[in-house]
Amino acid sequence: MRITGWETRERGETKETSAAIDDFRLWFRLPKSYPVSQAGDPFLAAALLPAMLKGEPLEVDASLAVSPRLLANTPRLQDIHHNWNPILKIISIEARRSPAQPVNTGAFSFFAGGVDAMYTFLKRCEEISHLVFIHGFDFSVDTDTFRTAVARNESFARGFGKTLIPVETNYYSFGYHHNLSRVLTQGGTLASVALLLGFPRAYVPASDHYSFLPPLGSHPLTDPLYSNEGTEIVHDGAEALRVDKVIKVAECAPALANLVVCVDDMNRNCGQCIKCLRTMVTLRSLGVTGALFPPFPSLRAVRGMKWSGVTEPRFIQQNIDLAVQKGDRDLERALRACLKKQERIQLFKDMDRVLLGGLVKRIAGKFRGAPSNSRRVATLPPRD
Amino acid sequence: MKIANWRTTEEKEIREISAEIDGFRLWYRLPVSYRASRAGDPFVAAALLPSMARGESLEVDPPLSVSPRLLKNLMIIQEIQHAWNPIFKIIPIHATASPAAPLNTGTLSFFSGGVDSTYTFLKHVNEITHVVFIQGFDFYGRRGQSSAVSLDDLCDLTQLVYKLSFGCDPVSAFLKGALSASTRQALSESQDPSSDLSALEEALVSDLNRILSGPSIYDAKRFGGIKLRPETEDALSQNVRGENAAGLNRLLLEDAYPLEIARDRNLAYRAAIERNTRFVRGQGKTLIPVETNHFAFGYRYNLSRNLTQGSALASIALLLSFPRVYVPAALAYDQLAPLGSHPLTDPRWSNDAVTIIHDGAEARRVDKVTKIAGSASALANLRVCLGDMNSNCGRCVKCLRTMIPLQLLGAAGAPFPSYPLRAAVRKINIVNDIERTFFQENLELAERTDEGGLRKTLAACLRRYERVQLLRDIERVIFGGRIKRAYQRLKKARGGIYRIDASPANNGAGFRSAGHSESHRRSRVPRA
Repeated sequence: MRITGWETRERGETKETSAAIDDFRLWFRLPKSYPVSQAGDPFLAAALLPAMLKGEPLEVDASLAVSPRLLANTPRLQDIHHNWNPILKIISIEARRSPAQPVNTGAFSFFAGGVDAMYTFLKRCEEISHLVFIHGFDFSVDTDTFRTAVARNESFARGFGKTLIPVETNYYSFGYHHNLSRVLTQGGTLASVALLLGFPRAYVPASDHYSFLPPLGSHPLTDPLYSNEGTEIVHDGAEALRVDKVIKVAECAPALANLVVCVDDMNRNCGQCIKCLRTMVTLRSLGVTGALFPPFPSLRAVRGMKWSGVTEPRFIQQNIDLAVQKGDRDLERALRACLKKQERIQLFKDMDRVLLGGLVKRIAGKFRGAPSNSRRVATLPPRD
Repeated sequence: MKIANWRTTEEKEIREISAEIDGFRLWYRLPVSYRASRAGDPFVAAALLPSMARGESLEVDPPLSVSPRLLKNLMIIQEIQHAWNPIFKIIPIHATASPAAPLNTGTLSFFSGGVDSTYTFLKHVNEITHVVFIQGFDFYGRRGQSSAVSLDDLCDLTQLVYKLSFGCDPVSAFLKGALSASTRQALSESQDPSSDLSALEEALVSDLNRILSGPSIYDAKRFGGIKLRPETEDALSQNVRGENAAGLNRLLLEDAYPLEIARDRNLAYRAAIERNTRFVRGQGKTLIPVETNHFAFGYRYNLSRNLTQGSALASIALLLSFPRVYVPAALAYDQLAPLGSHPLTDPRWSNDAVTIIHDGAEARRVDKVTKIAGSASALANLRVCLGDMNSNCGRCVKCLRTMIPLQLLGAAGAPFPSYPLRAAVRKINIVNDIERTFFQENLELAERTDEGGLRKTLAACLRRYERVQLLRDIERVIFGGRIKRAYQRLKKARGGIYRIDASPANNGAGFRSAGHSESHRRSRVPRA
């Protein structure tokens, strides 16, 4: 895999920095007032996982220098990803070396207005000078929606004397082009934006707690390894439980008023998805309401919460503990019932797997039809 | 908690560096030929977790300075330890900051001759110049020739107090009966976790010495279940009348409490040092034997060895101050769980002079064994058994999980008893998910290489584990954990020691789990 054809060009008020990674031109657009790194570092961070999936050496064009510190960190970064998912192969990297320098001054944090980003922002408020808001996670979001979200978050940041930097990128399309899942490429994306902006410190808000760290693209073991001499990337907030983060956000009225956790909408909370529900449950225990949330749904909706993944039961347990602490017996019962129901489903699946060798699952799979071919490569190998 | 009265002494080519922490003298002994740090860093590393467990600030006596980088890192270590187990409180550390400088040259790796440390040694053989071999994990050697027990000889006070309190075995019951009334009273009061053990400790030492200086404590029935060392057997045969029995009694006491009471630098330890020295010297490296009472110090605060492991290694690394130090990883990146030595915490014990590297987590255990099998001298030196420092029993789970890949790889010259493995493997009880992963790795190797039917046996073994886990899940989900709680109450009623671990899930602090086990790595076991 080769990184070539680096270029930067201005389009109206934005500046687009791009490079060709094999046959794909990866670009980042940000306000032209910010200088950007002229090094190969952002594109190396972006291309590492795709190159590992292909098992091809990664070659950076000699016109682009790469930080020796970043290069020295890549073996460990590769070791971790290869151990998590052996489909990602250990590869060699060829690049001209030259130490990086900071390009901007201050410290920034990635910011999407959700619980993790809001917590890190409030915790590091004194140090943070800028917030980076990325568009490119999901291109189903139209430009108007993005503009509204930028305006809303800009106004929020301005209220604290901070500056919001909106960044657009086609990184996720690039990841999908190589069949990599977003949970896997998340860390590399944030790192490439951080290295492009070249602030001395960049905070990546943690989504998981230190007590439970399943393999994930953004992880306290991997995020700091994307740092170079000019930019220190810090995985922040893994010391706080999710309910503690919401408590901190709820103590700050402007933050609570700006809180958007929904995956379906950038500017309001649907109140029905698992992310909305888990946050609304905490807010109910705390006796507060977020401005961008609908009224609290019935407890039946809480009992019927569904999820995939392994971290959600921990969030529910934290909400149970909080409900117990606040004496909200109805909410506690609903949450326990929800957890119990999911545990029974899981138990049934385990019984099928252990006692019947997955017979029920296979039969159900036949009825559902063949699995989708679009299954993307994630941090871990598939479980079946 | 205060770190004070730092001192260094020399005796017979051994330098002892020690400091008083909360009235306990924590010491490290190493050859005089190595320079050792005169800073507070090693002792701060050692005292952090006890201070956090007590929720007390940590003060370092002003003559001792601490590296500013370490002080900054300790804040993050505290955040992690507190997040893992909230029983550890975030505490302030008061110390004079002063940058550290390297004292020795080269690169160090910790080395016990097991799979993890041998793998790291082979992987970095070109870079590593020295290896450190530690005595003090299970017990440490006593100084001097006197038969009397000193405060310093109590390697594991908590365990000793527990055994005496409950009269767990005939010797403990006998000793308890021979203690003075006031000591017995102090013993019963020690069951309160907040009680101060120092007064009891002194009373115990005084009473034990009174008992030791009396007639022989030997009684065939009393010592029936205890394995006596050859030197004890000799002393016993030379003192049939049981008079002037202080020396004999000391040996008997050491045999009855092998992990609780320090013994003379024993033959097994010396043999292990000689064997490992021979191995590393063959590769042009130097072995540094280090003794410490670090774990005894942790036990005073009821901290488990799993928890204090990382800080123990860090304190020795900071004391020796080589610029780079490798800490061999026990678990792979995809198995990470809260543990004393962890890739998130180990590097944070580094200071300005010493970079501590958690190494080898990229390799699965079976990959490590494969690498070792490729080096005849490393394979010949491999010792994985917990039961013996110098030989592999070939029957314990650690031996078996290593013998399986060696047999599958057809490695010749492995230092394990040779016998058909299938029957032994069939009897293995896998006890946790980590052990399950090791056997799963062995099964995957067997699927590629096996010709002798080990594959079927391993698959059956893993299936049994899955069924036991399923039963546990059924008990948890259907019965709400009532059977388990009743069992635990019964177990506690018998007075087990619950030491504080890195995660509350591993200790007796009454943690209520989030409900789901970490099943994301649980993969299917092929049917035989």
